[in-house]
Amino acid sequence: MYSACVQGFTQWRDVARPLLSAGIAPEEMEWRLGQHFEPLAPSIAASAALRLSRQLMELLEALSCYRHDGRWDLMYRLAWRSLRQPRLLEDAADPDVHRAVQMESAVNREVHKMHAFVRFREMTDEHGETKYFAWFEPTHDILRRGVGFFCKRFPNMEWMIATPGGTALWQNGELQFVETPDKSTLPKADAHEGLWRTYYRNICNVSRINPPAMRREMPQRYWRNLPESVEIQTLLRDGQASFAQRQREAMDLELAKARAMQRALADLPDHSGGPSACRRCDIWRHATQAVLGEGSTSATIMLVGEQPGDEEDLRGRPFVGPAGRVLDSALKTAGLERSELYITNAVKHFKWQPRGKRRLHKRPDASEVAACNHWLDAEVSQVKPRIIVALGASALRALAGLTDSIESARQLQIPHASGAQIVCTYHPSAILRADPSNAGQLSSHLVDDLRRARELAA
Amino acid sequence: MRHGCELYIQPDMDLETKLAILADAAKYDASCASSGAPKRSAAPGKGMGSTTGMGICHSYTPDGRCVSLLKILLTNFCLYDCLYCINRRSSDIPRARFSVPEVVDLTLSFYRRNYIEGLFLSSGIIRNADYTMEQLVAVARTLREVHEFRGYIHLKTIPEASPELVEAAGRYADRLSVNIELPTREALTTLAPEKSDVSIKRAMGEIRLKLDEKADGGAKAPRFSPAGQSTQLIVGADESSDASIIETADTLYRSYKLRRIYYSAFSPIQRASARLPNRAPPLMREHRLYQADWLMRYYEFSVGELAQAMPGGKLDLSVDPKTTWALANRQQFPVDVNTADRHLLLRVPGLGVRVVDRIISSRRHRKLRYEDLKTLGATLKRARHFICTADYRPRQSDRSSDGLRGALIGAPEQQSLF
Repeated sequence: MYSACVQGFTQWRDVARPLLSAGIAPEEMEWRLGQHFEPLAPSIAASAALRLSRQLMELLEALSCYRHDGRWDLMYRLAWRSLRQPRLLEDAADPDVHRAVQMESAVNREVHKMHAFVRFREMTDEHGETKYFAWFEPTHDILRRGVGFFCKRFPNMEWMIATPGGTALWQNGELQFVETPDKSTLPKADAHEGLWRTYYRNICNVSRINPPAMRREMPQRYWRNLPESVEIQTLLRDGQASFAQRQREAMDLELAKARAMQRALADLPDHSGGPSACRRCDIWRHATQAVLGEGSTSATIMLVGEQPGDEEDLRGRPFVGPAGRVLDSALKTAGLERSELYITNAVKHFKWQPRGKRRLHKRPDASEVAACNHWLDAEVSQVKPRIIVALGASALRALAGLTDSIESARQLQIPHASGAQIVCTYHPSAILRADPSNAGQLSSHLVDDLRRARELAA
Repeated sequence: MRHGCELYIQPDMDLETKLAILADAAKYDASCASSGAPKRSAAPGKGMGSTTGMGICHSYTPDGRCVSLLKILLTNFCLYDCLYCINRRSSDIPRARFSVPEVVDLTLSFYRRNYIEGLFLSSGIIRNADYTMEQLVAVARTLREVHEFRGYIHLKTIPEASPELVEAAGRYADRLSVNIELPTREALTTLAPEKSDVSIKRAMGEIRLKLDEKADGGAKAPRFSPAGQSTQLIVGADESSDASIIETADTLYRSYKLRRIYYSAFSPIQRASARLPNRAPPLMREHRLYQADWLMRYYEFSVGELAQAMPGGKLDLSVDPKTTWALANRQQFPVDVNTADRHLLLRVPGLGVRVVDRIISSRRHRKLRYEDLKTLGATLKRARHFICTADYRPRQSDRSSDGLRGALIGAPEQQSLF
């Protein structure tokens, strides 16, 4: 039987290494916590180098902070077993692993609570230098594990975090651990605590009072070192009063009226606010905004696409996404100036379906195209173009009610009800979707058709 | 409209009174998160502050909510008259306005004492959108550039503020948010007549485009709101059903890549409009909506599947939505925890994401038994009706879903309210 008395992770590791490499079983070892480190007999000096995984070392380091006599023993058992069963930690249902995971999360939780609940008090010393002091009482031995956070956060302040078991001092950019000073020498108040309590009192919504939730996250044992906690009792009383008051008050009659009005509004189709307020179909619900046509209102050529895409929906402008770039280059090749045209879509809102994290275009159905014709007709009668270029099948359906394929419709002379002539061609996104062997041909068709539109308009 | 509202400020109002008024005015915003910012810390010799990515709650108030940021309004004067809002122009609450240096000093003083993770600044609309936004940006700019403040900053974005201001806000802030507040256009028209859902959605769309630009541009692109954007939906001020709220939420998540939607049970406000309900905030409904939201985001549930957990468009208040869904889909159960894939395990009531991951990792080493699930942290009170293990099958697989629901309600349920 061996025994060792250790304090802290480093000491434990120095004792455990030779024991592990000598193959001493956990049952043969007795661990104690103590001020006085007792090294083992030199007969068990380290032999072979030990390989323990980083994951295990991190776990052991956390366990060494857990304030319980059994921690060293469990640490040794885990290390000993891991050497014989390298994937031990994956087995979360193993009793040792389970216990270790529980202890690790308790330690990490306490570190997190230290970061949250340390409260500094400001004090100016006789030399006129401002310093910050905190008193904190952690449940586990986590001062060293948790203090690095404050070094990174407040490197340019001088501060001290005192705990019953040791004290961290940050001075001139250096961290030291010192004896804990007498608590009575630390500042007892801070000028800003009044403001902080005012904030705490007013940010609390007393109509949702829920003390168990507060206690679960901020257990009562922390309260005595939190300046805001003196407000808790008053707030709880206010909360109960507000609850009782609400119970006395009956629901207002006018509420029912407002509800009725809301229902009435919902049923009423409202076309007064332009396409953005349009409810002729349901696409608007999932879209950002109606994307209206843009360009010259005296244009002789009007281009009509299908509907805005993801980017158009966000930017509120037609043909500004990938398909817009294809269109721009085709216009350029065909000798057309975008600013001299009027460009719009048959459907003004973006219809889409989710695909993974993206919004994928979904073709509007016939009823939606028909519903939106109202707005397209208005644009045509305002712009009065001589030529309307239908980009793709949905535009052709909207403009002429035809369901022909683009391939055949390209050959046709189609009149529009306004007297304009319709030139039908492929939608730029058809080129983006097309097989690479076919894309070149579609693209040259698009350019040809745009050129034809230009000639017809001349 | 009360354009001269700034004249009403009492110049001699002390800081503490202002803080009381402007914290009270901000408390109906449920957001408090300080998470999602990139890891950073102050350099020796200059600056103060750090972010760890995780977020820290520095205190909890008796309403059970976390206090992470100094959450205040710059001013509670407002041109708008949104009925659900305590700061609407027709409300006769006391008004106040902070100056930019006051907010900066308050933030730094609180931060130094480790009271807070940073600042969440919002504002009533004064003069116009751009003027208001400029003030918010000025606070953030001063903190970052003059004081080298590295803590967390969340700025509210004012719809219709100019793109340059939104860009500047994104340069200084870790998170931006625009609150849509009401789930349907109908409700917005009735309760917030001067707001438009289109301008709110456009503001979110603009932020998403900038986030996309940053994501595509990598390290070279200018910094833009690294913790993304969020929004808030008020629950229970209007008649919108849970189904329509979830549908709206799904659209918002997908369209604007929101990190989070906050659901805020409508609290009766002082001097409320008679059009609004005067009753306790529907906290359980809010809780169920958060659960449904989680199911969408972390449990691979589609909106269509969630609809099965909302008969008549309503979430069951006495049973969580995952259990309701499972009761409506009994044919999929019991699930064998030793063989089922992750997707199916995530559907079992009482098994959370972490427990599912532990099951998958530990079943490589052993055939899981009923007792093992307890060790792994499963909530067996619910799970036991829907699983089988090496040594266990539920006895009541012939029991009706209604009967099972009754049994589950009978057991005192663990209720964690937000």
